[in-house]
Amino acid sequence: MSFQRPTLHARLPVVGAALVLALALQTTVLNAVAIGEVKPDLVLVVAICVGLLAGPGAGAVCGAAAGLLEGYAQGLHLGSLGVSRTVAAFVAGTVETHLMRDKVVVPAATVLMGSLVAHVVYFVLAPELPIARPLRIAVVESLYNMLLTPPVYLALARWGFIYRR
Amino acid sequence: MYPRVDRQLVLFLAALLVVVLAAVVHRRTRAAGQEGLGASVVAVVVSPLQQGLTGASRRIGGAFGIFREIRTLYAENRRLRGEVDRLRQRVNTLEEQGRENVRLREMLRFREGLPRHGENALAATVIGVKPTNWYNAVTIDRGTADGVRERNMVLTPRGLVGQVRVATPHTATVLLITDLHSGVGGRIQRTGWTGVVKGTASDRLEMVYLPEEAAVRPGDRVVTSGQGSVFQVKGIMIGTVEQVRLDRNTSTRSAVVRPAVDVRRLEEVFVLTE
Repeated sequence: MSFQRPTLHARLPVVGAALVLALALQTTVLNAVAIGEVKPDLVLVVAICVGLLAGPGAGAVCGAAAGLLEGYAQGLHLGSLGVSRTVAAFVAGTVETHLMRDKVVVPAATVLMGSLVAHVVYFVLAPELPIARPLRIAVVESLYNMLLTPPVYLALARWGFIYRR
Repeated sequence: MYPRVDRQLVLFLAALLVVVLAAVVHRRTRAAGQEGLGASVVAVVVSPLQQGLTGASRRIGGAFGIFREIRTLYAENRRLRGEVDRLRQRVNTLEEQGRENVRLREMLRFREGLPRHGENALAATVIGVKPTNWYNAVTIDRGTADGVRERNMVLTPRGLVGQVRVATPHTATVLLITDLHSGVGGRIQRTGWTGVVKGTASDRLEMVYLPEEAAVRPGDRVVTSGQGSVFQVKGIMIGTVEQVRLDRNTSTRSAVVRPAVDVRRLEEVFVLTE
């Protein structure tokens, strides 16, 4: 059984819209569902899911776009955010090629791992942040991201990356 | 043509390069005191969505606010219910104390009305009831240490209760007038006819040995006659005649008497010590 991945540029409008929508949601609605002042990073979830669906290269591009979006919106740590998201989405895409395809468990676990990777890279590149609080935030946010993965992944798979067998 | 993995790597490196370049440009732009193109573009693209979503989330938040309000009301309701329970308990306690106060005043007045102004009337509290169904008795918190002796008369302001059957140093067992073993010399207050008032192990007494010609009718009050070895005090209320019977075999009358004292609800009593 073989399948051909759609190229990223073919789905660029969908991915771009997903990232923008994710950023808009993250800066508005998701504040209301924060757990202990920690809200999920929906933009990162989208980037990692794109990496899972479209492969590591496309994931890296999407991760870079996600990081730049968040960085520009935040006005700080543009490079750290960009690099961390790029690496996380690339790693997620690489891992995905070695795992059984699955619609819930593998994407959720990959997003959990990818989120932790993104945090590690981010904190390595932004060392002025104290480690204790970010560590707790990183863990809670990664778990939260994992919970949000199934709907995001399924939506992207349905409307963004339909595999042709 | 690059192998697939190399293409992925090239994309990754290109993405990283773009990010690094963007970060450098961003830093320089900010250092120059300018906002930069990237931030402006993101703001222009995202802000309309943010405005829409914020409005929607506030409306939804308002709807959820109703649920929060309900939760608050629920918690407040629980707290107020607890307070109502506490206050109800307090009211009950006060009412109980009020009733006790009335009872004690009544007993005090009664005591003053007793022979020798109640000098020998010892107040006692009922601390126990009959342990079996075969014996109508209560336990009081006074005993021989307080001067209580066997066969002492026990009464309340409403009337006769019984006699002390067993006295220990600090408690005493009172045989109630309703017990089968109880017998009291009684007198029909209205006409003066005398007889013996016996317990029936029920909530009624029986007055026996009344002569056939004795004038007795329902409603007559029965008091102690002072005859006999136990209840020597005259005029203590025993009860009220409810029914009169004629025993043709013995040519005597008997009467069913409702006790003046509800012995099932005794709390404080007097013991007439000698």
